[in-house]
Amino acid sequence: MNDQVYVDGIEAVGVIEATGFVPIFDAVDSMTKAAEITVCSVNKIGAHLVACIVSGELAAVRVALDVGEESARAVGATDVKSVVFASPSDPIQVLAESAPSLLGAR
Amino acid sequence: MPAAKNSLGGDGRRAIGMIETKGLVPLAVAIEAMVKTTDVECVAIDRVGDGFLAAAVVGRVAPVRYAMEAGVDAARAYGEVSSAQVYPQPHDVSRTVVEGIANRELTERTGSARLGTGRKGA
Repeated sequence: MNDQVYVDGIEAVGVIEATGFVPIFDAVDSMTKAAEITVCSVNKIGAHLVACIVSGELAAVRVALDVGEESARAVGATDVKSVVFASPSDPIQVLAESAPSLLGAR
Repeated sequence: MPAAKNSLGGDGRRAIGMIETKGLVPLAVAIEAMVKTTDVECVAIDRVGDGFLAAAVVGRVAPVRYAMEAGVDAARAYGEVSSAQVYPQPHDVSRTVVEGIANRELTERTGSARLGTGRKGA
């Protein structure tokens, strides 16, 4: 891996979202244990939807989201959605870095 | 011609595209698709409430139109797109509204002066 390419940026970004706080809390717990990823933020975006943004190496993010989705479903969430951005564009990186201030209630 | 009072679209070629989805995953997918499909800039991401999130992109008319099509298609695969609209020639008032929800984090990252002074290449 070439470290210099990613000096400033985030390598890969993943977003996982479900209805209810507990499924996402469970997902965060298992994601951090399963792979070496950073949890950027957990955002309550209304209508019981909670979204969690993670970053890290692509493989780690992929594994983490798989595990996270599985454990969120195990707690009873039916509408778990997730997506991996292998090489996130600037807006997605900004979203990962400062989602709470972007999505915060005003 | 004096510089436009509203800096967004000060060069007269700035169209606005807005997309609203339910949930962050579809919105993130839409934004990624939009900025990677054509030459548009994402200037605003905002929480509307009740799980609805909105994003605004600016650019020339044709890129914005294509970007919105790509964004809507991509987001539909992941969730609900509640609305999407292109404004080819937005009124000054509409520009002011979009400036109001524009996020400094986003406009600073892209190094865009388009929201700052309205001068091209400034």
